[in-house]
Amino acid sequence: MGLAEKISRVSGDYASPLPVQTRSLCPECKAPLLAEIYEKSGKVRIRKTCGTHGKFDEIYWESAKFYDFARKFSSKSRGIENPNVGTFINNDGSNCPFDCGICSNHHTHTGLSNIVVTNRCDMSCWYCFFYAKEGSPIYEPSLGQIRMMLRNLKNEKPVSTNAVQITGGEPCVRDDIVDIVKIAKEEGYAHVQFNTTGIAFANNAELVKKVKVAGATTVYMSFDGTSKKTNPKNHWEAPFAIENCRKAKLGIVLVPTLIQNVNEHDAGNIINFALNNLDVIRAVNFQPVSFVGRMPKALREKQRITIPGAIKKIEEQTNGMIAESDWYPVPCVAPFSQFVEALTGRRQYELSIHFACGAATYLFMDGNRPVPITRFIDVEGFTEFLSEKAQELEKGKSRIATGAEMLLKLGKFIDRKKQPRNINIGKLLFNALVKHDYKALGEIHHRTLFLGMMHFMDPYNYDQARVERCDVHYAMPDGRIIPFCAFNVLPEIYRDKVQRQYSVPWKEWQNLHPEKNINYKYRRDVKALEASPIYKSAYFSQQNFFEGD
Amino acid sequence: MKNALPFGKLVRLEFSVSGLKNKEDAAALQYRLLLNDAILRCHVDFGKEKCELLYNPLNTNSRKIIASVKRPLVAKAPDEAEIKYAEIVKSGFHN
Repeated sequence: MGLAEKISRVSGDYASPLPVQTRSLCPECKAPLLAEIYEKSGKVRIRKTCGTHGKFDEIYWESAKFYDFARKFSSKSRGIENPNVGTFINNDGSNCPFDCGICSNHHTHTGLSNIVVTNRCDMSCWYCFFYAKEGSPIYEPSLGQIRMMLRNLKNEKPVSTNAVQITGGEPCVRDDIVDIVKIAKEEGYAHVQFNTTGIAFANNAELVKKVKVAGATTVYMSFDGTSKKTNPKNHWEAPFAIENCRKAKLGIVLVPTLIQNVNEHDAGNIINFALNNLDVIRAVNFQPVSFVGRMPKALREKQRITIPGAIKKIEEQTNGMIAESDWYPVPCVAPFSQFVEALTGRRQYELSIHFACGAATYLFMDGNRPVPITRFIDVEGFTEFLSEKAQELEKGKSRIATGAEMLLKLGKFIDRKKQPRNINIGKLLFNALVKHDYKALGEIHHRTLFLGMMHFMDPYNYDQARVERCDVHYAMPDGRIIPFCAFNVLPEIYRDKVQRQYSVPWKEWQNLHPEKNINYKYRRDVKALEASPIYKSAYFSQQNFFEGD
Repeated sequence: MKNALPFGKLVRLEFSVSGLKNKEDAAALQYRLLLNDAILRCHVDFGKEKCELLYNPLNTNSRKIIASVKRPLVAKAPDEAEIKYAEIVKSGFHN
């Protein structure tokens, strides 16, 4: 196959059986390279050669079998109608990922938007790449600029995002964080979440109440493990943040970054910890590590874990109660929105991201026993059924007839003997899909635990087909909207470059805010925290939901 | 953060580039140019053998940019015009 032919295959055939051609980057010089995703010894790898820096061969996924399963759920995406293709520069996306803005070549609209509200942080974690070191310029957009960025995302057509993540740095170091939540609500965002260590929420119950009243919906809290060793960042404060959110009725998503040989052995415990706090913790969203900057191959191999690897660890650590077969790639839910769209005639948000970017499952509680949704719902059968019905509706089939058929056949996909007691899944699904009654579905969400995996890329495993389908986007003050894995993998041309343009020097910022101690770093009183009943109860009075027989 | 826009006027520079072997080569040149802090936007079109970019004239000039395109690539026939940064930002935001 010639080079031109290879290039034409890139992207379009991303979900074909392995091997697959894609584009990637040289981890050393970021030169764009043709790459091949291929199978070796049951694993999926990506290989590429840079004319200057030689060959790179990296693990892509630990399981070729799971890859083959996941790729079949790939969903067609329709992109956005008003891309930022540049009035002054014709950045049409042909040089992806250096053309972002968001370009006409991007396949997905924004799902979760991100607004960086500061690059300050009251911690200085050695592994973090995203905060202002002493003396660095301070990036802190004004409320007016934040509103413009939120509005820009909202004006994406034909579907605009409904969810925004306020991120940093540590967003809670800003005094006007409550005002930022209010602005997001005013701009029409239903879902407003904080990407935070949770330390400010642990130490300030009033702040939690205020952001809740202002309209915040979720605290997306870093939580890398259940021990001091696996979670040095906020092990001591997490129980207090949880307690304050519980009182304020503000939901929490635990966000563990998983690193092989560091904390991957604690994944099952993290889920168990969440189940012990199910009244306030809504989800655990694992993020297998992505390596920022240069890293020796031996260390990468030691620490690399990807989605199938993390799923396998969870299966082992939960005594098979959450098995590999319980997980589905994120785009498997696309038929739900296709069906609702066909039924209502209104464009719906579509989760049509690349199948290798994320996986998920739901845990329901049946008494004291967690049961994955897949144990009582035929997920594949049901999504296929929804796809069929969506196609029939598009061809003109009556909505009433489709609703009636749905009522009749829905039960076929549910094993009533295995479904959790006191929950009528069939009725809930029917109400949500046909009657659009999401209230009951929302209530059930409070008695379930969503388990997710979101694997962000690094230059070693970079796959352009993935970034083209990314729906986690950053808004920038210069009007551009950048996919996560372009923003953070190429900070030198996106994140850091633009933040430098819109920053003020460290000293100038201090002069502008004389009341603030710019050098402030959080210091914990370990003894006092460990002596608290809240801390003890969180870690030493837990029920083990995964105990073997 | 600066409440005002960080730039006043920018220069839009367009020039031809010969010697590009393929799309990857064009993208690599684009990336290298974008590493220059003074260059705010850039696109290299492989098919048209053309580079379009916007730069801050307070920090560089067209001659220096053209000179930064190293052999075997050859950049020539520059065409430049002034543009207000505010217009660029305005065009970027969805209406």
